[in-house]
Order: sequence, then C-alpha cells, then structure tokens
Amino acid sequence: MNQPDRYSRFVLPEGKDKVEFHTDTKIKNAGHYVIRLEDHTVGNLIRQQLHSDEAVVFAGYRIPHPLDPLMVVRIQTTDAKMPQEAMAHALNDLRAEISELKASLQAQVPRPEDPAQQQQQQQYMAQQQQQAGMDPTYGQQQGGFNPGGYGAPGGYGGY
Amino acid sequence: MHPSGYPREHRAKIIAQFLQVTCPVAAALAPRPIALHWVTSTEALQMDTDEHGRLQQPSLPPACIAASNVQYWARIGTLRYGANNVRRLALTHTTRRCAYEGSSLWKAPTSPCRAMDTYRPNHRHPKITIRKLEDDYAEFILSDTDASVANALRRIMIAEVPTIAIDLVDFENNTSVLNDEFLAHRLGLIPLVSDFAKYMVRPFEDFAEGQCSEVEFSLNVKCTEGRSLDVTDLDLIPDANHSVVPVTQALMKQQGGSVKPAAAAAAAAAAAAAAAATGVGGATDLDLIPDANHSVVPVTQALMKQQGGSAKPVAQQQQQQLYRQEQQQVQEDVTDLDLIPDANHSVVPVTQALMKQQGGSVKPVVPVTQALMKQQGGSVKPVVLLKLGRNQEVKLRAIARKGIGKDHAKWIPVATAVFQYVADISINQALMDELTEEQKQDFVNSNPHTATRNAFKYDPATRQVTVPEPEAYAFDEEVLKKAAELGKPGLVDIKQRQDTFIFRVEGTGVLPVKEILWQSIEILDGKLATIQEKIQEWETKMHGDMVM
Repeated sequence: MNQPDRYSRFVLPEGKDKVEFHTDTKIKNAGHYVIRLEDHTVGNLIRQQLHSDEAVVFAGYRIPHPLDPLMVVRIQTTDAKMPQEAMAHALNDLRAEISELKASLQAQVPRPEDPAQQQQQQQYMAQQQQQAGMDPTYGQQQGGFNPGGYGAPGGYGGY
Repeated sequence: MHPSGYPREHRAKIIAQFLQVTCPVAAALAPRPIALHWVTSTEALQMDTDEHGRLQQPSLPPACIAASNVQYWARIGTLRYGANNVRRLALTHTTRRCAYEGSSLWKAPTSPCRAMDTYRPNHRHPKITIRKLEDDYAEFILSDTDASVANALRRIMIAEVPTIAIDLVDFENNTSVLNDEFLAHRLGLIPLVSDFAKYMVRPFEDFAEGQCSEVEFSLNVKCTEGRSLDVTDLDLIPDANHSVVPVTQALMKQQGGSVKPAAAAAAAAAAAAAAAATGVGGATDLDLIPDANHSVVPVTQALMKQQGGSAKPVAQQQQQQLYRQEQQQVQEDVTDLDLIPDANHSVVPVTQALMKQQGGSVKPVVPVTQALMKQQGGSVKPVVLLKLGRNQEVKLRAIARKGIGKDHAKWIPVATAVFQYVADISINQALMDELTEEQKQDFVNSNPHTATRNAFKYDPATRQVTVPEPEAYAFDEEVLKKAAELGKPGLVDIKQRQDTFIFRVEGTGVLPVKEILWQSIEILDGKLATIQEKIQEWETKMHGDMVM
C-alpha cells in the first residue's frame, strides 16, 4: 500500500539536503530548520538546549508526518542573535556537553582501543583540519573560547 | 547574513541611534536609508546598553569624534546588557570600521554560522557515575544534565546502536509444521554476536574495500527418529566464507539431551553436496566440446554421427543423479565429527583476513548461544527454533545483515534501557512530630514496599520517620494520600530531581553493555556533528557566492 521503503528512513532522498533553513517571511528573527532522517532523539535535544538560550524567544520541533523521515525545528530569537546563530550555538553547547560526558565515562570505563576506530578518528581529524583551514574562524572558535580575550585582537589599543 | 549577527535594518537602526547619541548633527545630515560600508579596522568603540537593550551614552573615545565627521567607529559587536551580563554579539576579531558612505551599498553578508564569536558556552557539565557494570547489565547515574540528554541516550541505546541479525531467509525445503514466514521471523530474532557490526556496512551504504554487508548461515536438519527433534540456533551453521564454524561436537555432548543424532548432520552433508551439484541447469553432454586432437568424444556425439540425429543426448541431470547416488553412498561413512571442526579451529580465512585488517580482537558473528557455550561449556541452553516430527525437514540459507532497532526490533541490542528520576523527599518534621507512633508506622507502611525495600523507614528508637532509600520511591503518591487522610497534607514534599537520572541497561548478549553505552554516546555526537556540518553546507550553498 502506502508503506514507504524500509531504507527510506536511512537514506537521504535524491537531490534533498540533510538540513535546510528557511527564514520566516512574516516574523522578524524567525525561521525553521528542516532536518531529514532525524527524529525526537535529536529534535527534543536541540529544542531543550535552545530554551536555555536567553536570546531565543521560541523554539520548538515537530515531526510533520510519521511516515516522512524528517523533523522541523522552528526558532525565533531576539535581536541579540539570529536564529541561525542560536542553532549553531546550541549545537556547539550540546557537543561540548557530550564531550564532557565522554570524558566522565572514559575516566571510569575506558573505551576499548580499536585500531579501526582510531583510523576513522584520524580521518575525521584530518577532515576537521581541512575545514578549519578553509574557515579559520570556525576552527578557532571550536578550539575553545577565551573570555579574557574578549575584545581582542585590536580592542582599544589605538586609544 | 552580516557577521555582527544583526539583520540589516537593525544594523541601520543601531548606527542611526549611535549617531543620534554621539553626533546629532551627523545623524541629522544622514540620508535615509542609511547605507553602510564595512572595512577592516582594529579600532573599535564600546557601546553600552541598559537591560532593555537601549543604547546608553557610549564610551566613545574623543579621538574618534575628532577624527572625522563622516566616519565613525562602531563596534557593533560589543553591547552590554546590564552591568553583570556582558555578552558578545558579533565577530569582534574582525571588527570592522563602520564608515558612513551615502553612496555605497552593503558589502555582501556572510553566513551567521561563521559568526561563532558571539558564542558563549552555555552548557552543563554532565557526569556519569557507574554503579554496576557487567557484560550484560549496567547501572549508572547520569547527573548534571537534563531529561532531553538522558532520553536521547536511552533512545539511541534502544534504536540506533547497530547489531547483526538474520534479515533474509531463502528456503529450500520446509516440511515442518511452521510456515516459512513464521520460521523466518523466528530466525531473525536469534541474537547474533555483533561485535563485528561496526566493520560491516548496511546494504544501502557505500562499501569501502574489505567491508562486507552480509553474513551467511545455513540450516539443514531432518528428523529421522520417532521422537520429535528440537531445532535450535546451534544448528545454524555460519558460511565458511564469512564466519566461523559452530561449536564442536564435544560441547554438544556436554549439553546432554540436545545432541543431534549423527544422521541429521550426515543428511546435511548429503543435501549440501546435492545443492552443489544442482547448480548447473539443463546442459547436455552435447555441449561438451572435445579437444580437436583428442579422439575420445561423448558417446552420444559418436552415436549421432552414426545415426544422424535420432539418438537422444544424455542429459547432464541424469549424470547428476548418478553422482548424487554415489555421494550418498559415500556419505554413509561421513560422521558428524567430520563435519564439525575442533573448537580451537574456529576462524575461517575471510573473516580472519578481515579481522586482521580491522584490528584482530573482533568476535566473529555467531549466534550468542554458540559463543556462550564455547565460553561456559554445556550449561547454556540453546534457543529452540522449532520442533520437527518424524521425516520432517528444514533446509534453508539465512543471510544476516547489520541494522538498527529503528528498522526492526530484532536489531535492538538491549532487553531494557530505562532511566528513573531520583525523588527529592523532604519530611516536615514539625508536622510529623504531631503524629502518634502508630500513625507514623501507618504512614511508612502506606508506601508500596517489599519486605526488604521501602523508601520510608520508621525508627522506633528515635521515633523518627526517615527516607533511607529515596530511589525506592515510585512516585505513586500513596504517602501523600495517607498524609491527607491523617489530616496532615503538608507532611511530605516530594519532587523529581530534574538533573539526575538513574539508568539501568540490560543487554541481550549481542554486545557488551559497555560497548552499547560507548556507542550510544558516540552516535549522539555523530548526529550533532553531521547536523553542524550540513548546516555549514546549506549556508555555503545559500550564501556561498556572497561570503566575504
């Protein structure tokens, strides 16, 4: 009948993007992300993290249809941030949180070393470095944020 | 999108407001709409706003005003909200000098995702505290985070950690009482050792060199005796090219009653041989082309030459029948010992090669029972697939694939993965003191409990009600009802702690729970990383031509 193919929940449809962002045409500082092949697992996580951002006025997610493997996150922000920024920050925060979780687990239950995984990791790191090379801003910021460096470089040096 | 993170009209507003405060004359002279041009500068101006975001008197350097009545330096990037709440809103290290130039238009905006300079870490610092960790059970406390993270981990442990399960069954013969679909479903539910899953690819994924997506098993059992025969996952024989051979006969003997009669295995050999032979279709011996220098030709060919086509070619299938008969004669001498290799000889070439490539320590794909029997000897009971009556036979080929629980429940690596909230129970001692001893005892007993476990406890010596085991509280509110009944509605206050979760994870044996836990965290991170990456891609796609 109308049963979708089994793989359709795991394979991106031809010509479709995993993530799309659409700006709201009627409300200022609002828009929605369409995230394909994701569900409540990530949807609720992102929504919750966005709620902890003071600049976010509204954040919600929905799965428009149970047979469509996609999820929509709608964000509205104050003038302090664009919705896209709020999303980027939320993802950054979540990843930072997960890496702390990993560290905490590693201290008690070390991840068994796995040569294949290490290889993958190296590849991933190389990819990251490449990306960082293309966009130094992004790479640096992921490296860590230094509140002391606030205003630098430049700052008020001239005055 | 502009690096300051402000939409265009808002930027213009800020500049206008800024001009109004700093240089009313310039503001009055400025044409509308204000067009702005950004150039790189290390100079910047700090602007202060009150808690409503309104601009206050800026700490404008005097030199700035003196420099020009046309050019003003604004670091839109730095705004102050209130006294203590400093936040950075834009790329400060690429602070731009904002020059008012009536004629020029905006420089192309950049992606907001690159403006990570406005990022202020706003995350929690979660902790995991392991309480108990066994191969198939784990209990741990996840703290300093919220339910969305706990639930994401739980959902991933159940639905997204990949394992291996039988996914396709090719029946050659099934004369049992169970129909093919029924049996295929039961086969799918057999737990297979899935450590190899992370080196496998799913059927729709891209293959890299040395990766496989399928592991083949065969099952071939016939009941030749009067009593019924249990067919179990021990009968599932991994394909020689893919995985290991099953548990030895020695182990099966330890198992006692469930040792297969040798005939069953011999029949399996016969069938396998027959299967090998039937691979060729209706070719005849006429297709055999003799060597030109060779004088010996098939008899049919010679006869046809003599008789001019009236001789019937001997079908190769007839030859096969002869061959099969011969094979069967031989097979009477084949014992099941010959079929099942020694326990020490467990790995066959392809897997071995793959495992060497992948790092060596990977466990081969076999039914969990077989692996356990190898470890623990005969104390493990196999999974019964079906029972065969006299002369009933099942012969099939099963293909196991990598998959996740989201696709089908057979791939779920856990039996249970649950978390509970921790109860925060505070007793109003003043009210409690007003109760008699009996009432206190009643109150404690009103909480559903077992003989050994109760969240509340009454100590007759101190005449105090305490909460020794808040974890045992099931949020059933029975004690609240009791408190109301006793006329003391505020006697206890019970809350769920929103940042602490007790996880209990029970594995099915396909993966160690440690592995499930680690993988779930990695999968979650991977999902977020993918989204991050794809957002970048989307922004580049949309604004790529406009990136500064």
